[in-house]
Amino acid sequence: MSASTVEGHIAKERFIGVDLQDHEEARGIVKAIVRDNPEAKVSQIPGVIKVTCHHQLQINRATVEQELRHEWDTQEFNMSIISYIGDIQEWDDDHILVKWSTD
Amino acid sequence: MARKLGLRETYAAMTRGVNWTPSYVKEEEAFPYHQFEGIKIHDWDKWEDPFRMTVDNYWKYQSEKDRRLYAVLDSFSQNQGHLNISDGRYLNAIKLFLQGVTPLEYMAHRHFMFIARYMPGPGTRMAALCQSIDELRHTQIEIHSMSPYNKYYSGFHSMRKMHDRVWYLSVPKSYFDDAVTAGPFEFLTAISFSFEYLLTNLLFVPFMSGAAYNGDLPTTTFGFSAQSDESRHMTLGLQVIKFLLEQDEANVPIVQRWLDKWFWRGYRLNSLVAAMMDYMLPKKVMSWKEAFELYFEQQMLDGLFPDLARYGIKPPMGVEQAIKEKEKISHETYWALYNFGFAAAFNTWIPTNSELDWMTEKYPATFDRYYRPRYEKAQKIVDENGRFFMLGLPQLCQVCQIPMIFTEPDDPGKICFRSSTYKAEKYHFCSDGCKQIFDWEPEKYVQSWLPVHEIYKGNCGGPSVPEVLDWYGIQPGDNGEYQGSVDQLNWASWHKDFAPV
Ligand SMILES: [Fe+2]
Ligand SMILES: [Fe+2]
Repeated sequence: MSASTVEGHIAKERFIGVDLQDHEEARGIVKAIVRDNPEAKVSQIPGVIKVTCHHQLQINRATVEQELRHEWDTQEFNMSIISYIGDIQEWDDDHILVKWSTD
Repeated sequence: MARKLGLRETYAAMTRGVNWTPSYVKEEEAFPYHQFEGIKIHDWDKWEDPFRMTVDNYWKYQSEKDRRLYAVLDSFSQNQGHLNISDGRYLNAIKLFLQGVTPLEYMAHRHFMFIARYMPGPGTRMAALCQSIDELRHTQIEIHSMSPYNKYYSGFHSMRKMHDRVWYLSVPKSYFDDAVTAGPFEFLTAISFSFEYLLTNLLFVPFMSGAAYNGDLPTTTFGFSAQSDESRHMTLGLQVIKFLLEQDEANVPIVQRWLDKWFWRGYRLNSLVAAMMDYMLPKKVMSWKEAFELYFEQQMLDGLFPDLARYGIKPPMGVEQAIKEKEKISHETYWALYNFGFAAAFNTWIPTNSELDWMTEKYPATFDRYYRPRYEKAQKIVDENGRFFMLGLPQLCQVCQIPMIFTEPDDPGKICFRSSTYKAEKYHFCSDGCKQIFDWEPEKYVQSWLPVHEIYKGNCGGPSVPEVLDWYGIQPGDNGEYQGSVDQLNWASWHKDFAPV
């Protein structure tokens, strides 16, 4: 049974994404995400920036460093993330990858 | 010079690398608890932790998070920040959080320490150890963040005592007690997966965003500080489930049963959040229905469950009912809080006209037909005879411990009653879901500490309302109507020189 067969539920588009604090560093990270993931959609509720993509969302250290204009360790993403949707499939020294395991 | 290890290698060295096989005792003596639930694990090395958090990084980032938070708390207090929230009514949502959720953080701290000691896999132990320390930090920062309000407002003073005693707080308390008295894998499925992955966004994101929107700087700040740990906990939850499902096919039906149980338990607990979101936030971010559609239906049903379907996992029991209830659960819950508000450690009130209009807009299918007339009637009673309360004691659901306030899934006009007989005793439930959970484990739930029963048994301070309230730790002003309350009068006098808005 797929989720779309749940009675009363209207299936919508599947997405993955990250919810970040609305602060200076996170705004730089969001700029980097948008540069590296052209399909990324940015939306906002008070205090929170939500970035979503349909297939995968990749954060690259090099792009973030260009946006922030200083060195950035991918583990510093811990200081901005407040939630995410999807499955974190990779997190190493150079990039973080969020996607689902099935298409 | 030696090459610096990458993240992946550092993590492997700091978890697998420092693990050892016990030689003084047998493996099953060192780790005696991970087998009795019937879960089969063949290879603990298949455990992956995408956050790759190591001890050195953990201290570095956690201390930085705390430094940022405490700087905010200092300036909040120095600047009389409490005067800048949207309205005095708002803080009742925060009282409910402090009384209901903060003690659960402490319970999570205790039980993750147990997991960190007793799971045989080093990756699992490291993730649980970090989470245990996180949860202790959450307990502390929540108490610290809310303490500036305790100087000026009622209801913030005795959360620990209240959590163990007050009727509506037995809902979150019994939920967590149920989890910690289960086996370790069920606990992880209950808390790490069902609560922290499946349902956490429904609780925390609208709550923290609500705090930001209502000018509550301390709550926003501790909330985001805690949530940054929470995304690590979500990863643990998803990892647990995938790991169990991949290790052995025989684990699949066990996990499905836990998922069915813990979705429903967590969802019922969230009815308090629903009431808080729709009724207690003067400035509203989104309705419960909208939050449920985004964070549960779209993110979980459409997002996560297709990933789990390849293991044979189905969406949990009761999900169809939860979808039907999104039109009514917040209204039914707040109405009960309004009625029994004389015995709650927060204030309740009738929504303003513009708030009623907001609900009509957000709940076009039900609000004007079923709920608005109640508040109009309540207002008429207030105008003519003053505030009324329901002074009787409600029947409680044996499983979720919520009063029998919920209606039939297809009929908002009819209260839903279910029952089961076990060893010649009859037990009552609010829903098919709670009845099913009881029927699966009756020996567990016949032991429920039900606040109403305990009052009748004479265990709650005495037979009269003042005696019970005293035993609860509720002081005059903590409870009852907001209009004319200590908090409302103080708020009005503090703001009398402000320009009217
Ligand atoms: Fe926590
Ligand atoms: Fe129930």
